[in-house]
Amino acid sequence: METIINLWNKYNYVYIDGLIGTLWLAAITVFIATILGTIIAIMKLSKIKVLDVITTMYIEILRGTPILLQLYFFWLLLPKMVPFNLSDTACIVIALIVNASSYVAEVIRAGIQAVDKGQTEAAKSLGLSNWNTMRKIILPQAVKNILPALGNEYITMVKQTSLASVFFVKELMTSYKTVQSATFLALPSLIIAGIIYFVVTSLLSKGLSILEMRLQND
Amino acid sequence: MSGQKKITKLITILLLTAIVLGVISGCTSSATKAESTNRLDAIKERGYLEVVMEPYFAPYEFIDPSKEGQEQYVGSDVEFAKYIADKFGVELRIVPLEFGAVLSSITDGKYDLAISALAYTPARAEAMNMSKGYYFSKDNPGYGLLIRKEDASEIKGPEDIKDKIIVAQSGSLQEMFVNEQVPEYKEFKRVSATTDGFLMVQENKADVCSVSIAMAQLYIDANPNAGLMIVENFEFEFDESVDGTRVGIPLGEDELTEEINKIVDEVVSTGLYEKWYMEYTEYAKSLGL
Repeated sequence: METIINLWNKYNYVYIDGLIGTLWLAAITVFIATILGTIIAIMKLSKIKVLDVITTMYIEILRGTPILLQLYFFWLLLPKMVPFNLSDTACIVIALIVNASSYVAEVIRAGIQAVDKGQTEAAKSLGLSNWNTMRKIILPQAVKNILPALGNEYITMVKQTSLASVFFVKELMTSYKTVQSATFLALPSLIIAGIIYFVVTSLLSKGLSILEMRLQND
Repeated sequence: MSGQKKITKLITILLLTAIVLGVISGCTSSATKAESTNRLDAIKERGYLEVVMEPYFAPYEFIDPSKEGQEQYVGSDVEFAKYIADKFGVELRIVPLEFGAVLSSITDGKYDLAISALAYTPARAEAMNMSKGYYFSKDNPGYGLLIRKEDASEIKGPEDIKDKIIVAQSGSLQEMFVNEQVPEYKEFKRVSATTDGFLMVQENKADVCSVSIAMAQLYIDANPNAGLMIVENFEFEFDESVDGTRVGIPLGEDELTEEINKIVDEVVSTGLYEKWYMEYTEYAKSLGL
């Protein structure tokens, strides 16, 4: 117990830097994944058969393989496939975004489909095009359904970013490894990281349920 | 899903896989072709040297948490890397990777040098060029076995491991010792990080860990209540003719290897590497509690 306190006193900044890295990584990932996921969801819902097949393949491959496997793939292959220099962190972020987009796409698709069919019919009868219907009528209403699920995705991503520590990306698990290797104190270093993860996800979950209540009251 | 739809789906999967594999092999072969010119020249031309290491092995290479970016990597191997970069007149870029990836990235030719307390093994020598030894542990403790104190009377050497679980870092020299010098064991587990092995013994997930005695002792000193000890009077047999940590270099890069060997001769004969080793042993101690 005492070691944990001493360890915190000496190396708290490492953990805090790592936490900021984790939160930032999760935020960027979910943000861009939402944009990508929306496009995929719309592709999946469209009447064009080919798009449906492609997106189904995309989603099934990404959900059917372990995330760590995907991280390794992107880390190994991406730099070889692009003509410019891609940092390790960039490869990992891209991999996380792609993976998250497959889950987010399903969330958004469900959110869109939950919007009353009557809305689409009314919009069409008013002469709105497909695209405008989606953009101005359906999506804004779908957002209410999607927001809580996206919030959950963020909390999940905060935990999933821990896998990036394998590639030395700046986040909380990497902080644990750094402190542990500098001090040879494995369990105390791990406990500190664990406590931080737990406190942060608990706070985020609480915040999310408050948000959900507010949305329902609207 | 109807039979026809299933077949369509199957064909699409196979087609996609074929395309993906085709793209990948096309890209990777063109990438390796570009790098087949002399690497030493390539390094001097691009102006930087990329050195891979696993920075979790004090005092060779480790991380100073109070520093950022490239500055955080410290250790005798890091000093050595800086020295080499200076000799070549280029910038140094340290690439941290887990140990398995350190080895594979050199056999792949992805990075220039691996300076990560690499010991000589015949298998490694086939997959990459290895320099002459730059640090010799003849006078220092070698490799042995880590066990829980309560098992001291039961485990005195590799013959006693018959019904025990042994663990070692994947891809390491310690793993090779288990394969060659432990006749029988109940189970052989592997881990990617050195300290994970210590933890496994500590937490009863394994009974013995094949370790570098110096490293293990540092852990035991920092964790007096962990109940661990090193088996006394036992060291793995070590072929002294292949003693010495080496620099790993992509296979076939003979000009680069020659230059590295010249630099190795320098740091060994002037005692420079020994000095760095002592310096960073002290530094590492200061980072603990």
